[in-house]
Amino acid sequence: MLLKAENLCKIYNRHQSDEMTAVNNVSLEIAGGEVLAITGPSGSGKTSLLSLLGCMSRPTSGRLQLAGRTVSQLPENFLAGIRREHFGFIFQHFNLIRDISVIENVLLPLVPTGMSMTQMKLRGQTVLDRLALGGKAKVRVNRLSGGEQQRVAIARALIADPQVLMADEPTAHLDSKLSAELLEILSVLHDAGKTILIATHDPSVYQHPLITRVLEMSDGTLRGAVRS
Amino acid sequence: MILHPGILALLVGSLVTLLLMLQACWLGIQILVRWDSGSSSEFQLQLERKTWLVSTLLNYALAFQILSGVFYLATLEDIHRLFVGAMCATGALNANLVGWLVLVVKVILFFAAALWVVINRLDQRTEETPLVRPKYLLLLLITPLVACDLYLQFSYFSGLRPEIITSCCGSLFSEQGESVASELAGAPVRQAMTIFFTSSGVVFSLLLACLLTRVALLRSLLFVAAVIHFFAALAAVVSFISLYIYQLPSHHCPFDMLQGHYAYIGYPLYAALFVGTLFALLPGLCQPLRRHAGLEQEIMRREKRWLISALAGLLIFLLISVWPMLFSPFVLLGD
Amino acid sequence: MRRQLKILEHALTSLLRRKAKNLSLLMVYSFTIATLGSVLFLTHALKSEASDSLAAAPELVVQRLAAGRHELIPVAYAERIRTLPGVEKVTPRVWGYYYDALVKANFTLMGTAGEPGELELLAGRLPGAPDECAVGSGVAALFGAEIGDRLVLIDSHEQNRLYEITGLFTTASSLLTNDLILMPETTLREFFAMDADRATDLAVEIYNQREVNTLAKKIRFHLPDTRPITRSEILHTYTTIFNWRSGMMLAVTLAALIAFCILAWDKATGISSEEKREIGILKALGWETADVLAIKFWEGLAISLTAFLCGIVAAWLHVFVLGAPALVPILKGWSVIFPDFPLTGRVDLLQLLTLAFLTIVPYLACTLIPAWKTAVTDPEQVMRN
Repeated sequence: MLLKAENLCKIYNRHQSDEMTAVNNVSLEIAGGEVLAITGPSGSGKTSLLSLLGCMSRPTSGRLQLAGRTVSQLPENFLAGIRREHFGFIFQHFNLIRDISVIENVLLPLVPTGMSMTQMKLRGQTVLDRLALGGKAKVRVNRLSGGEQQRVAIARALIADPQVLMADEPTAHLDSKLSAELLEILSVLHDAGKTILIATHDPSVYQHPLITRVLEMSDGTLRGAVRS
Repeated sequence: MILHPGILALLVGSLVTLLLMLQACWLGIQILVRWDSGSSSEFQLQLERKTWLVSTLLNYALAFQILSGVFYLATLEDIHRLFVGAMCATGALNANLVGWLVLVVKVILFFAAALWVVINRLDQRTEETPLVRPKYLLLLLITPLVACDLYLQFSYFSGLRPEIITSCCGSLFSEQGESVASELAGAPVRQAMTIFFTSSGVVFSLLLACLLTRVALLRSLLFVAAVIHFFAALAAVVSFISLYIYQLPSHHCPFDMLQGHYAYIGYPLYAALFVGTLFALLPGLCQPLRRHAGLEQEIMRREKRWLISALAGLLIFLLISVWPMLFSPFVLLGD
Repeated sequence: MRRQLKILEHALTSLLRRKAKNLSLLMVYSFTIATLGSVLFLTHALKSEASDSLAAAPELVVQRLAAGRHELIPVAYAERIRTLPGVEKVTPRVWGYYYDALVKANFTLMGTAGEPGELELLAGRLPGAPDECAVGSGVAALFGAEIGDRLVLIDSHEQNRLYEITGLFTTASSLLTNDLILMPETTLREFFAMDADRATDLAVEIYNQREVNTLAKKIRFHLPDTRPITRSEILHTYTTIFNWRSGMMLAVTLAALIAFCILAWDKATGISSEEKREIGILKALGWETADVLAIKFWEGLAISLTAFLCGIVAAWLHVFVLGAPALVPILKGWSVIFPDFPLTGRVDLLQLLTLAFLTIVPYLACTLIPAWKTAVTDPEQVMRN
């Protein structure tokens, strides 16, 4: 079992007047190689759950295990290391740094690793070539089209060769052509053995043949086949 | 006296350092009282984030302390001309004896702050952060030292009276005097050399042994040897190393070598000794921490670097000391 | 090491991307350093000039005191001093101060017993005849006089005396000669109505410089109403005064420094939303708090070192090329005639360290907490935006 969540809870602004339970007692098991879609309306807690599973934040209570190791109570700097090594994120708004080039954006996750510049550049170029961006390495991100920016975001997520890819509403700002392109790329990655978690309310995504399991999120609780 | 630019700068720097340390202390107390590593509350997360602020404050404070130590000596060199009878920093220090205390406190602070930074790094790299409480208690002990440093500096500089005739290093470090410095200066050179080279040999052997084996006892021995060697080295500087540097059989001053006409050789000499000693102390000092599995791992990762740094530092010190003995025309021990 | 270098690279590119904000900060920072630097450079240069000039002064000057005040010294004392072992030469000096009510300035009048001749720092020649004089450039400027013109001075009998200017001291010697009027000794004695057996003081030259303090003590012993002043004591006094003045001016400019620190704090806390977003992205991508703190450290250091370099270059230009026009009006208040001489450019390591301590240390300290606040940005925020 790659990821195992037990009774995860995430409460924001605890003990305050605007206290909110985003994730309420969620248990979940995810095996390696799965493509999991988490659906639900806006505000159901999908992003918060993804954030917990991706070690972006610590749960208020509950336990998360990654490859058998309990990671839920680790200090922030350790979580950062785990994110670097095991997870790749594709954000809803891409979250690229607009004033720097494609290659600089893509290599950002590798900078804190201490890898040599030569190795980093080689990896970067390889990933960009795979996503048909090889010729645009030095171009500034704000000069790219929406589709190209999406591919840069994917390249950045893949640069550290993570086990798990997390995508938060990846098609929210894309047209149908680009959405199809994205799913095509995710298919290829799935075939290469990556585990993929997608938070989405787009039917064209969660109904795609690529998806191996669909779970529904509602008011912080999860419904569906929580076990792999 | 206080309005000398160098003195103003020193006091401003020390004041800034103290303010940083007080901030660190205040956070440290909060952390000590409310830290609960098992908790996932937002408050615990905020405390965790505050530990980074404390680390940053201490890192800067350490850096300022090191620079202020160098700056203190440089300022003493500059103001010594104002004192009748003073030929170097020693004269300036003798003009108001509190100056010697400042030097002692700065040396202690250097080691204390450096050790805190190292222990903090070890702790932050360990998942369970087991040293939180001891670390912040230590912080509460270091802060008064910083305040002491500022107070003593102010006391020293404001108490300087340029019209008072002071004694130069010639009388303090002369062989005829009755002070500790005179005892060192007057010690028979052969014996002093023997002690120094023996302690150097022991430290180097232990360093190499620690690099090659994992025996805990060796590290503890290294700690003791490094401490002894530190004092032996300082004594050796006064006793005979200075003589070779100045090429004068009666000039024992440890500060003159910081001046331009000796090519500022004192700075790399002392820097190498201090840094080398610091790294040599670390393996032994961290022995008790190895009980904890996480810390053991971290110490294992870094120990090699510490040992090599210690070796390099002490080797440089030895080289600078021995070079004039071997290559200068000055002959101390008649042959 | 590699990691730090890459973080440094990122920090520098990040700075360059925010040119507008950083440029304004850099300018103010450089200006602050330039101000403090100018003060330090100027006072240090003046101090060095003074001590260099003093090198030509006699090793020992003997004055006479009566009721604790300076009195004219009997020339006979010179004989007494000459008999002391170690004394090479004793020269009675005749000089004094003169206040001119018309131009409201104090001059130094000095008598010369030497031959009328030429000096390297003198345009024209030294005065020979009783009604001749040589003047410093400050004196000439005040009266608008040149060589060949006549100077009118009122002697101690309230009589107008005319002196022809035969020589003009060049500006290179201004520090010593700016307010000087040189005339033959006999003329000066007449002017001041000074008896022939008196002198203002005695200049003593000795064989062995190291003996000067011993000799001074001996002179005091044999001639208890005298005050021997050694050159090193004068140098000591100059150094103390210049340190004091330098410190005073620094203390005043510290107000500027505090204002700068407040600005630095403000700039550091006022982090733009774009920058916050960037840090959030980095944290989300796996950068640790320590890495972000490192970015902030390198940014701070890069700005500090750049500003330091610009500041000291500006200070150098201001003091040694332009002659410190911004500071001179402040200093002028302390003396009516301020020498207009070129300062020799000299800077030492201690000055630079002092400047660094007074500027870089407070700046880095002010930006610490804002840097930390940025570095602990919650990575989850990036998910939510």
